[in-house]
Amino acid sequence: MIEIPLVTENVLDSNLVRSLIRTDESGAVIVFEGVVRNHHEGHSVVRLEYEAYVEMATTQILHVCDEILSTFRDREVYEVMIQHRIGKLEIGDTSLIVAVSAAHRADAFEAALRAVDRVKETVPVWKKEWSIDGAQWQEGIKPKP
Amino acid sequence: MEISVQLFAGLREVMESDLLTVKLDQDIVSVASLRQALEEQYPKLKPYLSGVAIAVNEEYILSDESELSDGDSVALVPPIAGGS
Repeated sequence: MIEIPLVTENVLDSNLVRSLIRTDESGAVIVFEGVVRNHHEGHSVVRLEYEAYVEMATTQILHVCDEILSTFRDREVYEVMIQHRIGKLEIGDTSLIVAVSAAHRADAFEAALRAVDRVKETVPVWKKEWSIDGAQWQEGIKPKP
Repeated sequence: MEISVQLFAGLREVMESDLLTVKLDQDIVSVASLRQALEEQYPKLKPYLSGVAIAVNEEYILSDESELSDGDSVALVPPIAGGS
């Protein structure tokens, strides 16, 4: 499998990620994209700026992939890949890709959802929200490794 | 022992630095004593420390009794907010 940076300032390519995780055994491929939206808790957002502790975020993303493969090892989940974009992102830009291939759709959906949750709980990434009033760091959660 | 501690995001902005140096008298330093030294040597950090996780060599430290070694890469991880 070719290596791609898991935390990057570059535009994320969901087609590339899909091609990397699809296997001939897979009957289901989920490519989830987390996308920058124009509102948060009732106020408007004009852009998000993501920062990461890149080395640790990469390590933690790999842990999430291992954890999902191990949790779903009896359910024919074949591959999991996660990529997070950092830097200044505009509305509609993809900030996160979580891709899963599995034999069956229910396992693929469940594994993908679990992977997104674990990214949010463990990967050291922060986001600054830009609105017309200025910029502020969005309140986060204490990591749950 | 002298430990360098990396800062990110809001914590980096509060402290106006991405690296703090903490001096400790002991040769064996636990995560708990690092927290205490940070609080004493950088009082501005105090209101944030209870919500901060400590990472050593890119892994979260779950026990405050864990000991640090020379050359460890130590970071303060404020509440995280990845994804969309």
